[in-house]
Amino acid sequence: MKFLRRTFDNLSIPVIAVLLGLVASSLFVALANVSPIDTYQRLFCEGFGPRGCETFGDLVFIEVENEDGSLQTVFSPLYGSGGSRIALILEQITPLILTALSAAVAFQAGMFSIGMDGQFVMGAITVAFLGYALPDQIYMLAGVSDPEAAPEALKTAMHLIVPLICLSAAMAVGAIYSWIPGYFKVKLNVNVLISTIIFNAIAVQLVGYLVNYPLRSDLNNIARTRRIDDTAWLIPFNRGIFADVEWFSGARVGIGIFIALAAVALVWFYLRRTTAGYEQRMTRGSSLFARFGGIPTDRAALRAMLISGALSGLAGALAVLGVERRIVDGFATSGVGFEGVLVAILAKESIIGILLVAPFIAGLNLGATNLQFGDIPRQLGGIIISFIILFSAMEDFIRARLTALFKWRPTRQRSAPDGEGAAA
Amino acid sequence: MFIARSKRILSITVAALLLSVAAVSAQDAEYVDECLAAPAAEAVEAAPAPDNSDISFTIILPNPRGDRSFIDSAAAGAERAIAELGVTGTIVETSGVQEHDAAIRRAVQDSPDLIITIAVDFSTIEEIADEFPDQMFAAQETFFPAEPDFDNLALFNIFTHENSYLAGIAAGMLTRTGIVGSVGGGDFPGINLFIVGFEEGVLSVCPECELLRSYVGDFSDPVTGKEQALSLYAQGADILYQVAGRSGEGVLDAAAETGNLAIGVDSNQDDLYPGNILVSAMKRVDNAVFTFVERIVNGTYEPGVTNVGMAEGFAGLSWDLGVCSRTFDEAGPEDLVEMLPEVRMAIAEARAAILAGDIVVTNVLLEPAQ
Repeated sequence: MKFLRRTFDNLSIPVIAVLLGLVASSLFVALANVSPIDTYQRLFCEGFGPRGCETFGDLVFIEVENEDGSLQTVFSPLYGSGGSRIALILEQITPLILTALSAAVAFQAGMFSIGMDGQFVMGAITVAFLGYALPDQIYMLAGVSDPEAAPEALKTAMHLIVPLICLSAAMAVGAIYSWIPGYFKVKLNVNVLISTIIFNAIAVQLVGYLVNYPLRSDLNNIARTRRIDDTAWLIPFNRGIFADVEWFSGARVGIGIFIALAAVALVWFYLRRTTAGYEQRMTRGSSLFARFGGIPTDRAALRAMLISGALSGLAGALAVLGVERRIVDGFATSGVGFEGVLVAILAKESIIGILLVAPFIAGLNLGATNLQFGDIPRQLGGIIISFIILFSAMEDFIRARLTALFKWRPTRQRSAPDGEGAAA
Repeated sequence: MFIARSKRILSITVAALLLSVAAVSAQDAEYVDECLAAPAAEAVEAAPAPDNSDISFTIILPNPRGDRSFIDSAAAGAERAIAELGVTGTIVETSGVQEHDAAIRRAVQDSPDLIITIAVDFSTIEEIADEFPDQMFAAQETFFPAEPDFDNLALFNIFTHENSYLAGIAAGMLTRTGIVGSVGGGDFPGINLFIVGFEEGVLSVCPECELLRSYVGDFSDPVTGKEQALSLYAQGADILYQVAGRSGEGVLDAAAETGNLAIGVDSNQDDLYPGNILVSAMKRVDNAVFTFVERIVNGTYEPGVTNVGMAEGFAGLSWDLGVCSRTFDEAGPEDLVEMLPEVRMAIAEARAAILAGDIVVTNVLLEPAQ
């Protein structure tokens, strides 16, 4: 009973936040001369619903026409005709979960690093280059002139090794790129927030330069790097093992999602079950106290920055190896890193929270962009998302109001001091 | 001082020469303003739109609307198709390269009869056309390095080197300082197609003119566009050709602010800053989009590449028949307006020579860039 109540309590607050966000944005939706209810149905259907979804009800069960013309009611998330939005969400959250983890790890060491964007694009450009340069080198060393005609054994070996090297290299680059602002903080007391913002700008400009000049593959209208070799490609399910499963059609979700989930488990274990993780969390709680207790706080903070950078670099690598296969000019400004920071903050830096918030944000983004398919201006989507995020960030306020309103459990202490309510 | 004076003497001589040429040519061929000669407005009643609502298309715009140029022209074509052909159309804006892929994939889920993409990178199109063989695609402004072989992809390219050449003639004849510049969105063949054609046009009538170039590196950054334009004007240029999408708005703004001239691109931009925009080198992206939809309605969709240009009426000047912009005649500086009939005469001659093949303008998309 107590568990049920707690779950209800934890779930009700985000739901209320979303509802408040929808009510607030109704004003703008109405100003644009479209019906708010239609807009919201469209938003959620485009984000989370199956094909042909029209109403909120369709989000759960939808009536579909069989080939013989009879109607059948199916459970929407499993309905995959024309490709499932859930699969699209899985594609989107792969980098999002990793950048959010990256932010959470840094935050939990008391480093307010928002350098995920920079580390992400640095990791991405690393594999975009290695993805074709490394196989080229291997072919050359093996004396293969035509990659098409390479021996199968060599190709199989490369399919295993090349992505592994690429991912490790991206993690190393991301880690170094994150370590530098961390070092500045520890040794020179430079504000991490400011230095990581600057580092983001540097990375975005650098990648823009690399894509436009040294790594540019041809003189097309849009600058882009060469496509990575097939041996470096982490083939998405819809092209590989699940090519016949329509549920995956159009979504480039692949092995990356499992890597992201493994990272979630590892980071949780690191933060909660290891000495190093404990040192890091102590550093955040009270740096002076931790140092007095014999914890090397500088080392703990730098370690957190290294892990954070490696996670963001990994996110960038998976985006290139699994989805994009090349970097096109404009990729660097897409802002996946900042989305990660947002997810981490909304999830209150809780690892489990990230797993819930990331799909929600990814789905909302999807829905907002695709509002236009229902002839609703795309800008409205942005406004609605912003309001939902704003009210989600007011969680403590809503919780306090609710408690005051219902006087649910006046005796029970609400939420842990460092705000890990969502993790519980 | 001496140089300036000699330049002035030179320009006076040139002007005198031109005048005499004009006088001579006026004797045998008086310039006839076709726009004035043409019957005033099409009196034909627009036929009520046929009901083709079971035919659907989705158009993916590469950037948000509101550039008053390329994107808006494409959207206008789609809107005209919806209105005149009575088809069901969905216009989708994206905020940049990173959204193209997702938007096209989403469009595929609705399985419309045709998906039209505008200026999307060829590798994106290639991958998606390959992945969804049952979906028809039409791509405008997508240049493939080698001709693609897909049964579900029609490519449509509008070559704009020839009308840029004509705009170059106007600029070359009307420049007072002898310096003419171009502001491009980026340094690649798709944009240099315009600029090289324009520069050849300038040099054809003003061999001693100095040519300046700058590239914004972005198609939605009017602030940088304006800065670069101001800098080019400060270097002595008095006419700038903008080929930079929404960044070009900054160039037009700079022209109005400094009292110089600019040449618009893609859409008819003459009325944005009346008197400061000499002419617009139009690229009828709207007609291209309309043609795509029309072909689907008529059942004449054909995969493969179609190249069109001035000869087919997809590229031209805003002065031409069909648009007949005369804004500059009304609001431009008087001394230049006086020269307009002569300029139009020269342009008409050059147009005839180009169409007859006597003048060949460099097409950097087909020939190596200079």
